[in-house]
Amino acid sequence: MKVPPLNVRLGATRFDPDDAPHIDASALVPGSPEARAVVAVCPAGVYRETPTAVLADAAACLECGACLAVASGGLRWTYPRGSTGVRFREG
Amino acid sequence: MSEVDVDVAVVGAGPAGSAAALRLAERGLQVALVERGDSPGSKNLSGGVLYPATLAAAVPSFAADAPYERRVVRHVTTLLQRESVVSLDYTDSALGAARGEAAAAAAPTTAPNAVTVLRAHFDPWLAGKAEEAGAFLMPGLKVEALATQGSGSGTRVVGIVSDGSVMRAHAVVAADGVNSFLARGAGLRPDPRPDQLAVGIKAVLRLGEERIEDRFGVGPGEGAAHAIVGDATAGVAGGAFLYTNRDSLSVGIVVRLDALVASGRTASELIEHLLGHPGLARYLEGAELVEYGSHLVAEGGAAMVGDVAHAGLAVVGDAAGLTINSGLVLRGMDLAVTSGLVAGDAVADAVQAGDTSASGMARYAAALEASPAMADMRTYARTPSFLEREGPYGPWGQAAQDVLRSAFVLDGAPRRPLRTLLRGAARRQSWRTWLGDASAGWRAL
Ligand SMILES: Cc1cc2nc3c(=O)[nH]c(=O)nc-3n(C[C@H](O)[C@H](O)[C@H](O)COP(=O)(O)OP(=O)(O)OC[C@H]3O[C@@H](n4cnc5c(N)ncnc54)[C@H](O)[C@@H]3O)c2cc1C
Ligand code: SF4
Repeated sequence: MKVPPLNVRLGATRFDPDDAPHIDASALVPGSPEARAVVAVCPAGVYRETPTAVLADAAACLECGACLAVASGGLRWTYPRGSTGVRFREG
Repeated sequence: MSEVDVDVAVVGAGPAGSAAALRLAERGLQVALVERGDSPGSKNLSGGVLYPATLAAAVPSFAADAPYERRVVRHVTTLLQRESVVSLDYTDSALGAARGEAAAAAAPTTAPNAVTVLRAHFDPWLAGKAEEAGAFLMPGLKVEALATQGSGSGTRVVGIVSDGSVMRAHAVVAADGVNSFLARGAGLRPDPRPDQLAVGIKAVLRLGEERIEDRFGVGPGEGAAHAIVGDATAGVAGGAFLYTNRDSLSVGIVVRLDALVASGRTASELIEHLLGHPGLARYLEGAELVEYGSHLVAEGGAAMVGDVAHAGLAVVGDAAGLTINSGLVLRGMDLAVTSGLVAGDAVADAVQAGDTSASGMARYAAALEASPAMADMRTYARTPSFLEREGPYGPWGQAAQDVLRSAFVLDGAPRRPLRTLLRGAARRQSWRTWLGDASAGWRAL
């Protein structure tokens, strides 16, 4: 099949965004193994490395927890507040 | 016993939590079933093959009203290479495959062996059964932490904390899924290692009922489950699945986190590699993507389960690491249901005996240990290390392709006998690969 790019795939999924972001990546060092790992494992492309920081676009988060598991303590990540965040209609 | 708001607080309305709440309510206890999603299932995702025997015994109306998609009558195991597809296709009357048109017309009155489900549709049904039994469902509420007294090995769980206030309970059932934040936050479970976790990435593709039945060779109401290894994950340790829903397909990959990081690939690239794979085009062509999601899978096997009972706390389902990935089947929902039911009975016994101390709750650990769920966890205990071997991800598929090509691709050169072909294919891999895979496979299965 013609593969829909990531932004189109995410566009098909419903999100009810929380105004308070549930991810804090400010302690990750760009270029570090942990930063590379979170970028690699995130299926939603939430993380982006700039020369000075690792940025997280929490609004696209699918809430799997893969990033937290590979960040060796360098990430603050919680589930978003109740009723907010991703809302699967199929699952 | 001290003052409480409810007898038992169950956190998480997935299959584990809803099964626990159902059983606790049936036993006459006052139960709160707390779920962070706006409705049960809205945060949950699985590949979708449920083995419903235990659930159908607990919920007798399963065959009549469970919102499953199709009954699985065809299990296909595929070695996928870039240029070839080699499959083992299994159908059997024991799977409930209809024989003839009359059989196809008859609606099943007993639960099928396996069914496909979509969690956003399925989980609300099961939570509804718990509610009917008397459990109090509280959706849209995220539990921040366990309320505890004491510390270290003297820690006692006395309730849950949500929105800054404490709901006190004689016991808490942590059914909060694979991340298991509640038990970890109270220091009662270790953080899982990346090699004990896999990330599952899934797309739901709308295709229409007729095209599904044509392409997968199944009748109305019947479905197929394809397990795919090899180039499905571009050789990264893990596998792919392709399951039929009523009018859509569930297709995705499950790859181990440590292997994914080591591979230098990204998760998004790998799912794109699968969806665009020429070997799957005949199934996926023309389908429309309607949802994209991801979720972790516990892959640590029996070794990851650890302590499931503490003073005032029972840990069930994925939160306790109860998942089996044998390479051919991925099971977690049925183990979640079994552990939830077992915990429901044990916790009801403990509360009714007025003893939810560590020794009172040890009933649950003992009952889980004696359950078929743990027996299966032990049977497949070696599978995780088997899946660490590279054989299933490259060499096997390559060898199958080599043998079948030599047998079926006629290029005018004289054919060689099959035994020579097999020997030749085997030689192209180191004997260590084969011997190692064979002995690891034997021990795992
Ligand atoms: C890609 C993939 C494919 C899979 N395929 C299959 C398959 O084919 N067959 C199979 O049997 N299993 C499969 N599994 C495994 C299966 O999905 C799980 O084993 C099963 O869902 C576990 O059920 P559970 O109730 O323990 O946890 P979950 O289903 O994860 O439920 C946990 C619940 O707790 C809620 N929750 C979490 N934290 C909080 C909190 N702090 N406060 C309030 N609520 C909270 C969540 O919202 C959720 O509803 C698959 C998994 C994945 C990821
Ligand atoms: S939880 Fe999953 S989807 Fe969300 S940022 Fe982490 S890896 Fe990405």
